[in-house]
Amino acid sequence: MKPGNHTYSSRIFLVALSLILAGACNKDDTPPPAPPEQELTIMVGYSVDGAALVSSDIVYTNAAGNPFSVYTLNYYLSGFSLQKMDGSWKELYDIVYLDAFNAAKNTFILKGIPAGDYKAFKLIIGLEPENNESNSLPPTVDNINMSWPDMMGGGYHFLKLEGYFKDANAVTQGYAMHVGTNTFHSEVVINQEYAIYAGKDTLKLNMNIAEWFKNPHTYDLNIQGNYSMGRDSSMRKLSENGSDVFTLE
Amino acid sequence: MGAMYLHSNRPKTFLILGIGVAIWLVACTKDKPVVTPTGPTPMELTIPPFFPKPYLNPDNPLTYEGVKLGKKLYSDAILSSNGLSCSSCHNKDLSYSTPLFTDKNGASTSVPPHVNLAFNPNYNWNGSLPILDTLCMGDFEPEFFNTNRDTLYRRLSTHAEYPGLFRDAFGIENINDLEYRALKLKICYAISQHIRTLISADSKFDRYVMNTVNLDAMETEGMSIFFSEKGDCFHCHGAPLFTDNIFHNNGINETFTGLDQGRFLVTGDPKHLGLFSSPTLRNIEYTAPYMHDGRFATLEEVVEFYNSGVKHSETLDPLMTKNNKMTGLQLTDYQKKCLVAFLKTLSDPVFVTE
Repeated sequence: MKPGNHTYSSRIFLVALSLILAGACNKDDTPPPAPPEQELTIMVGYSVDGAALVSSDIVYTNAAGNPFSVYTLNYYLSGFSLQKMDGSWKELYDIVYLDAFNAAKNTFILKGIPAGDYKAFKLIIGLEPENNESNSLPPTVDNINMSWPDMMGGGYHFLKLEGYFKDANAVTQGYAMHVGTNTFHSEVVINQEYAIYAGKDTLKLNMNIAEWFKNPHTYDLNIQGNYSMGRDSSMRKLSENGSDVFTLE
Repeated sequence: MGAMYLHSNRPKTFLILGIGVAIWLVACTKDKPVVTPTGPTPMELTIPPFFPKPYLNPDNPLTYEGVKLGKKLYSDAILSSNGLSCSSCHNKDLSYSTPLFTDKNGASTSVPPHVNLAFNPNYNWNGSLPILDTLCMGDFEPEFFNTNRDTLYRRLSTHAEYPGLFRDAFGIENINDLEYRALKLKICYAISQHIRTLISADSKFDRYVMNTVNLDAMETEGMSIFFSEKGDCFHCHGAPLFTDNIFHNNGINETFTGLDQGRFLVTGDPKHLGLFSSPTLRNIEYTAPYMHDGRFATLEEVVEFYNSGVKHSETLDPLMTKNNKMTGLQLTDYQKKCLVAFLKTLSDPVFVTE
């Protein structure tokens, strides 16, 4: 073997080693691993302008002065999104059915949330158009009873808020605030800083049911009528009122 | 033109539903057994498309042997001392119902049909029983079967088939070894297994959904009334079960005494006065008379009640106090006939004959 050849081989070896080392250095430059993902438990509570929610008794008064009660409150939440401190949003694809008078239907878990600090929480009351297709949700008893007839546009009820109120003649009447149909979902944004990490992974939401009847539209059951289904103007008002029914505790 | 109109306007959901129903019907030759080394053979219900999951009891798993025993007991007067069996009041021809039952106090009740009960969370008009598996425990009482304990043991244990059927279904080697309550419970378990298999989902409406038949003009008009605010039937009787299984006061009374008190008799809550569980409208054509007390003899009378006869009370369901309902639905005579015609499309003739 000639000495020259040996030198040549050594050079090749050194170049190869340098490339390997360079590659190894590049790996060291990769971003640190993503923070561990957390499960976030959401607990939903209810009140009526600060008063505890009780079933059926006419003990509340809405912004229009109608004495009213709450008998049924069923709805969907979807379109969850958390805003990171850098302003970007972490979207979570879940659809949840809630029943205010069924304790088992007021707690749910959102998965796949990076641990960290957040400054806003966004959700939708109801379903976005891409999810508001008849029979698109699993056929549970809850979902079946929330169906919105195809004759009226199909999909699902976003909200069923029912109860009784004293009409202008002080006679007890029922009311049924039903909202459905694409675009009548309510978009809720709660601007509040919070941290999510292991051991701190529960958020408490509170729905002030009275807000369905105010802000921005004062909803008088004697004037607007005691049912809303199929009435776009009523559903739009309720939809817009719904944007501030939730607060983060 | 009419047929094309119907097809071209058929809601997309119904087409999707139809495909599912078609698959279900093909798959539904019969529930396929799952072979296990020993013991009864588990049965899995074939659920029609878009039906919810059935309410099953882990303490009383569905088995072929259990269903077989239950089916035989259902129609056998061996349980009674008066010649009655379950089928005496739950006649298959009437969708496992019967016109009226009169209790010892003289109060009459319309007998709820045994149809799709696997999907019900509560039973009886006022929801007095929350578990299907023990639904018939009260039937041994004097008011119904007037069962004689000793006679029941003797008849069952000396019967040519029952000892083997009980052994196959529940592993009971000797019926006489069971305590009386345990025997009655096993009987109820078997009967409830049979009842869970009584699934009706092959009506003209279902076939319309699967696109194999058309509804005629009156049925189509009736369907539009049913599934819109015009009639607003769907809130309590939505597809596919045609019941929401929720308690409502639908306005048939202004005051409440006796059985008319409804759910209140179970909960004691005054807010539940006059509330009754929504009955399914599947096979409603076969289950006259109507309402919990059978006060309406015909579907025409029922429709007329909702059209013009709703009575106000403090517990009248919010869905019944919508403006249009308190002033009447304002249906024309033709529309009323259409609504009745649609209700009859929910009849499942195969269910009541085979």
